[in-house]
Amino acid sequence: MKRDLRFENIYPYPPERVWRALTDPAAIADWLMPNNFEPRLGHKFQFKTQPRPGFDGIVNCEVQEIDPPRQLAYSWRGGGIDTQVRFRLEPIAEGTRLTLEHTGFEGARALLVSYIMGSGWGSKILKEQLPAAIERYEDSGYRRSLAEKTCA
Amino acid sequence: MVQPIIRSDVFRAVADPTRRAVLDRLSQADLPVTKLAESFDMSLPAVSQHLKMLRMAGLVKEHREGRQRVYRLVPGPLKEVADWVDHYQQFWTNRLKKLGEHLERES
Repeated sequence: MKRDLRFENIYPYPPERVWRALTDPAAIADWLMPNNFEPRLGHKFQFKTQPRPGFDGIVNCEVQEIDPPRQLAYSWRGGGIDTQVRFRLEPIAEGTRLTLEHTGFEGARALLVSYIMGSGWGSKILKEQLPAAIERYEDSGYRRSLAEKTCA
Repeated sequence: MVQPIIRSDVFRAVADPTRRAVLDRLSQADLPVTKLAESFDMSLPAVSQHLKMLRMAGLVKEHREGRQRVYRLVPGPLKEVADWVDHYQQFWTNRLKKLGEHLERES
């Protein structure tokens, strides 16, 4: 099972420019989420987005590493999930190679396993009964809400 | 927007074996609170309390049928718990694309 997420993107701009987009609150709001980020070690901030059923819309973060324009890391906590997000910037001929790592899913998975998959209940309900329940539920709006989520 | 965060209510709600059993029953059929109380040999207030927690976690919905309150499983939050890493995969892919667009606009 995949545990950590890693992305690598190349942007045709120098690292300083990409760094600004990662550390200026207005810029961050433009591509990620509304926030009260400040570029200093230990700063606690939040991402806020639209609440919806099952999510209060808040991610609590703390700057854990900041090394302009090379590396930025912050904690990413919400809804019982405690993970870390790390950006690495590397100057290359084409511009900047940005690596994003979202780690700590192991702990969350363990939580998931103990709470949901424990006692055989989870696998049974998720594999056998849930699909049927979803089918029944689709008539009353689940399909619609799923579609909204997927194409946003 | 794809938003993969799971509210801790969902974890709390399914941590309890009785509530898991209630979800189990509701995954087979919608049921009125009286039927649920019968099948678990519990008092109405006790079942109602469990249902309240499940409702707050977004896992069940209630509607009226005549004089009865009928409960239905809302599987969405469970499904999200099950594949929320995949949600993040999608979330970041989407956001990093937006970052590229942001950089382009600012240039």
